[in-house]
Amino acid sequence: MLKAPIIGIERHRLTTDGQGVTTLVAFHGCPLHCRYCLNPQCLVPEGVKRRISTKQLLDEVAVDDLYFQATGGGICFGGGEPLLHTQFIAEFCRSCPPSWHIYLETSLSTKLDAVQEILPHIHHFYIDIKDLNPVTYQAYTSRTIAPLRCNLQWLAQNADTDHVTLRLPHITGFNTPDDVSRSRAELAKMGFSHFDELTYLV
Amino acid sequence: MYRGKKICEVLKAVRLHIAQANDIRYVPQVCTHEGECRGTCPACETEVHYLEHQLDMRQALGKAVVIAGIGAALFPSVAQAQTPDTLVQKKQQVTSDTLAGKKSQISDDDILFGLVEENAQFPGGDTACKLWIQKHMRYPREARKKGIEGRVIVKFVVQKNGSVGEVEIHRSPNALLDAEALRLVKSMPKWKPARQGAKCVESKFLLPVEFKLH
Repeated sequence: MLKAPIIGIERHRLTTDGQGVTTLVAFHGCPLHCRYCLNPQCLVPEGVKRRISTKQLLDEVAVDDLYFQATGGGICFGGGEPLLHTQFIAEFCRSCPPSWHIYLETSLSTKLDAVQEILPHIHHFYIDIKDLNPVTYQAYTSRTIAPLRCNLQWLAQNADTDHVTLRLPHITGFNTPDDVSRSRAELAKMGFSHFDELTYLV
Repeated sequence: MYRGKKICEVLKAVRLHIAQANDIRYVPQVCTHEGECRGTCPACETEVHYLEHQLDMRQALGKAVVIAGIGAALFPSVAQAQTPDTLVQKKQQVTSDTLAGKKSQISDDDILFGLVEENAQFPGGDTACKLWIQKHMRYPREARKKGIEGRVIVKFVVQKNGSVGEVEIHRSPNALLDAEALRLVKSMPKWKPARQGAKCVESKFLLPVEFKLH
């Protein structure tokens, strides 16, 4: 049975990670190094809180089954970067009740085959775009934007974009409202229609 | 971020919707948990388990059980996450399966399983109960060796005099944790018994016993 490193499990999140009541399962590890990372413990070895199997996770989160069913909620995988643990997520999804909705909070900055593997299991994607300007993206995340662009194109062509929300942050010192508008327009042209603009607290 | 009792109140509303849709008598208790309540205090957990037990009984009796989407109306719709067809389907399910409300007398079973005016309480409250469990727990050696953690739900009766009896496992993720969970509850000090008005009454209780290695 697969095991994955996690930095935490948080119960009873209300609509922040999906419809209804959700439990957030946050993985350790991320390909990005964002300047204002909310969970920097996912980047250091000592940040691993536990290594958990899919069965252990299922046993633990099942305590809220009644709320998941009653509210259309379920599990949100985040982190860190959940796309680094697609086999684990897929195994979990095959064993959890089919009535649970599975949400994914991701930077989408991984290999395409990770996105392809996970797509059938995900009810809704929440993708943190940062900014589509490649210079801004590199400055903020310390990584190239190429994987994100590639995966967005693939997702636009192969997923139901009604089940994709793109998060466009206003990041002080990195982008302006005009930059955010430009990113949004470009993403709309790709075929996406659900956006969530927010301001990063720095 | 201190969110006070907001989460607790929302979850309580969800529980109320479930109970009403399934004609289950349920009177939410006022949460007396100290500090921020995230819906995970023993009192909230007990109410969840009570509802699950009642729903299981309804199903065992061949009655319709309505859960899916019951509480969805309490949340702002994530329109992108649900197709209109799904929402309509869930609403129709509620309409066709909802039973006509009937005022029912409080039965002995109701009193026995959490439907009292004042729940039984561990001396000092929920926090004291958690601390007592942590202090007196002897983590099962075999479970520790295998890295087994989890939450065991123990069912028991708090007698009119506060003593704890009829202790049994209600739900457990691993049998290696059971004996210790039972030992802990059986060795608990007397509880403050449940009350119906001025009268002390027997009551059933579901208590989660958390086993964590870190």
